[in-house]
Amino acid sequence: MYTPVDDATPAAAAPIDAERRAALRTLGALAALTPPAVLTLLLSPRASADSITDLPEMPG
Amino acid sequence: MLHTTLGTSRLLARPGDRRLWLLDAATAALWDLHAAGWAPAPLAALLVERFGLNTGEARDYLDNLRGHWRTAGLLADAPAGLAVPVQSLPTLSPPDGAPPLPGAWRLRVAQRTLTLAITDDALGACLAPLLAPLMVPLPIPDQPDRGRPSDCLVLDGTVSHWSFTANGRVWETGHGHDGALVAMLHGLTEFGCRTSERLLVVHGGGLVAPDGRAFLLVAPGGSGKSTLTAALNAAGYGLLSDDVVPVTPDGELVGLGLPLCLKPGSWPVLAGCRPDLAQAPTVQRLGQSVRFLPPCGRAATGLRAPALFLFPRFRPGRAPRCEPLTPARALQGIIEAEAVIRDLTQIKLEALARWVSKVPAYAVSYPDLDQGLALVRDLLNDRDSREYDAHGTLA
Repeated sequence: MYTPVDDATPAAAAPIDAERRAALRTLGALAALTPPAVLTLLLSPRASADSITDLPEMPG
Repeated sequence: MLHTTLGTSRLLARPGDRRLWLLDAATAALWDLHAAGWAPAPLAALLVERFGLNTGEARDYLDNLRGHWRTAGLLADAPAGLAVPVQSLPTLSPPDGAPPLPGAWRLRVAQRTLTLAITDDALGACLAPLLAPLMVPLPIPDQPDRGRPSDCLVLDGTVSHWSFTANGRVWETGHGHDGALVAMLHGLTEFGCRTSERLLVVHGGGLVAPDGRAFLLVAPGGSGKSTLTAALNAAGYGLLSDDVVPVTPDGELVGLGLPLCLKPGSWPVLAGCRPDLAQAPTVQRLGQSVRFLPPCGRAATGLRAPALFLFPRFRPGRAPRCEPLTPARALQGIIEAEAVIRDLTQIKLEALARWVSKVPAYAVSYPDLDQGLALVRDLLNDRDSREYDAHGTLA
C-alpha cells in the first residue's frame, strides 16, 4: 500500500498546468519507465598520487 | 547538490562527500521533478498520465524509487554522508630563492622546471640513469635562462642517513639506499601530480602511439597494467607514466617521464622486450621487491589530449575480449581504479563528465602479453568492437 512520505506543499500539491505540462515533457523524453537505477561510486580517500602506488602483485 | 549529465545518465555529488551518484535516465528525470518540489501524489499522477499505469502501480514505483534514493544517501533524511577524509597533501613550499647546490641537475617534470641536488655520489650514480629522460641542459653562463627553475629539491646526507628537502622544507628522512631512491621518485611523482592543481590523477598507464595519439590504460592494482604498459613502451609507444597520470583541468594527460616500476611477476614476461630488466637492481619499495627502468625512447613529457581509454584485464586461458563502454561505465572504471579526485566543485564535475564523454572507452581482456599488444594496436587502428561478436570475443 502506498504511503505518502512527504508533506505536500501547496505548490506541489496543486501544480499549475504549465508546470504539469513541463513535467510531462520531461517524462516524455523517456522511452520507458525503467526500474530505478542508482549507482553509488566512492571516491578514493587518498590525498595524493604518491600513495596510490602501494599495489598488489600481478596475478599469474 | 552538484549535478551534470553524462551520456544518458545523470551524475550527482555533494561537496565534501566521497560519493558520486550515477542515475539512469528515468531515475534522473524523476529526481529532477522531486528536486523541483513535486510531492509523491502529483508525481504519481504524472506517471499515470504519461505511462498508462494505474495509481497503485505509480505509487509503488515511486515508493521503490525513494527507497533507492534513501539507500544511496540522496535524500535529506538519509544517513550522514561519507565525508572526504581530511588527509593532508604534502605541502609544496614556495621556492625560497636559494641558489641550487653546486652540481645540481636541472629537471623538467610535468611542465615544472626544478633543480635536484644529490649529495651522496652513490645515490646520484644510481638515480642518474633513471632520471636522464627528465634532465635539461644547465644554462650557459651569460646567456638568458629560459627555463628558470621554480623548485629546488635536495637529497641530502649519505646512504646511511638521508633527508629529502623541497624548497627548504624536509619532506622525508630515512636510512638506506632503497628508501632514498623510493622517496626521491615518489617526491617527483608528487610534484608532477599536485592533485590540487589537477582535474584528477588517474591510476593507470599513459602512452603515446607512434602516430601521436595518447591513451590511458586504467586498472586497479594486480590487473597487469604496468606489464602491458612496459611492453607497449618497448614496442615503440612513448611512455607518459606507468602508474599515475595527472590530468590538467583542460583534460590533457601530463607526461611524467619517470621510470617504470616493475614487480617480480612481470620480470620474466618482459625479459624478451626489456633485456636490461635482468640487470636492474632490485629495490624494496613499500615492502615489495621492484625494479625501476628508464622508459624506452624519448620521454613523452608534454601534454596530450587522450584519444582512447582502455580498461585492461589480464585473464590467462581466456579468449581476448573487447567491449565498448558508455561514458558512465568509463567513469565508473576510472573511479574504481582509485583515481584521486579532490575538491570536487560544479565546474570540476562538469569538466570530468565532458572529459569521459568525448573519449571512446573499451574494456579489454587478454590472455597473454602478445595478444594484449595486438588488442591495443587493433583498437588504435580503428578495428573496434564491430569486429567482435555480441559477447565481445574477437570474430
